[in-house]
Amino acid sequence: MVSERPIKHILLLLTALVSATLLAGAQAHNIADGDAAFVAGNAGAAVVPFIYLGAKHMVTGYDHLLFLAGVVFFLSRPGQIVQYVTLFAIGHSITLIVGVLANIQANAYLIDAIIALSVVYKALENMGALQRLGRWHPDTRLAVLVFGLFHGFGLATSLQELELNPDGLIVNLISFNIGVEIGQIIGLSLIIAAFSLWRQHPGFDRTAFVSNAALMCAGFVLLIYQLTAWQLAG
Amino acid sequence: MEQKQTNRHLAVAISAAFIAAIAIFVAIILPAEFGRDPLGTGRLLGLSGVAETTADALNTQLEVHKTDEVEFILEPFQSLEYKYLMDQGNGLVYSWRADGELYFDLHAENITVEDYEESYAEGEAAQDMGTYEAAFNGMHGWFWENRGFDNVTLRLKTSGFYVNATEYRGGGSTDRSLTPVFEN
Repeated sequence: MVSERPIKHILLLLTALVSATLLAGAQAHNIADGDAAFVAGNAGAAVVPFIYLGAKHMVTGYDHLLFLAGVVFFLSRPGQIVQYVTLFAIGHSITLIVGVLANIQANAYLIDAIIALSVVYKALENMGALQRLGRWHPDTRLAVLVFGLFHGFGLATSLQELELNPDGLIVNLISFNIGVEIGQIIGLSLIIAAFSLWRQHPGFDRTAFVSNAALMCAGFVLLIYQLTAWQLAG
Repeated sequence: MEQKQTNRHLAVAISAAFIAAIAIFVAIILPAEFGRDPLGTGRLLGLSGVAETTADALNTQLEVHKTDEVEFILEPFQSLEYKYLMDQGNGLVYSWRADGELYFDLHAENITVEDYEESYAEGEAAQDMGTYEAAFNGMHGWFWENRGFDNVTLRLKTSGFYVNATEYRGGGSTDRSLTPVFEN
């Protein structure tokens, strides 16, 4: 399970993750300027544009994608994947829709920090660290659902930062949500395809532990980034 | 023994992940995103410039800087359009004020793409002011209409990087050449 020389692998994976984080970090994970102007100027139902924005937000949302990568890391049976991803989708849909409709204003930095923590948590779970806690084990299905709720709040806050017109709000919100699910399916298919190739490789078991340590490291970087941004913005 | 070994591996991996995260953050992300460089690594890697470059704060212009000041009288239910020929990226500062409420529409007509118009603001007002940057090459300006029963006097003052102005009124149009701020 554990490689004898994990340090070398950690370094390699860290380099890959750092470059990915830097590329993604170049643009903050908000809805981009031109799209924001579109949403602010939009009144009435606009189904396709909001589906597109939702899908784009998810596909370019590295925090959501890192968490999903953690969730499906050890899942190879399609049934299991569908089960976990559905739980995640139920969780984030509830808070996305309720958060926007009830106008719940959450601190975007703290929500994103919790999303980063969800990445750290999922990596810990994949590394088998939670089995060391003794008798009590968190239910992995429940954890995906609960973290899904926080991811939904993140989606809701980034949508609320735009000036949403009340005209056609519900239709646009549901369209955005459908877009999020489409984006999630696109992202997941790429992740699952890559993982299933990787799983056939004899090195998978050996590198799995180290890869999750690198995933956890990326989660920590996102966490520190969000907390720093929050402190400096305040 | 096996159990102890795994625990040790976990502890090492978790601490390594955390320490690496802090190192990456302090050495790379802090200088690049927040412009703080406690270790000097940002300067070393040339990352400091990323945070220090403020997007679009300065926008120097090639077009001659001109000013314009016009006054119109709009009788009840009369309308007019007043637009500037501007290249993409050129800006102007404007203020207009009327002694009665007018319907207005701030819009632009593209001269390179046929039949392309974009409206940025419309409504009823007696005054407005702002900055405007042309999103494309074209005619940029206002449509005003007096929808009341009294004559309205409208004054417009602008300063910016436009070529000239055109007034459209009663089916005809007149071009106006404008004064550069420095006359040669």
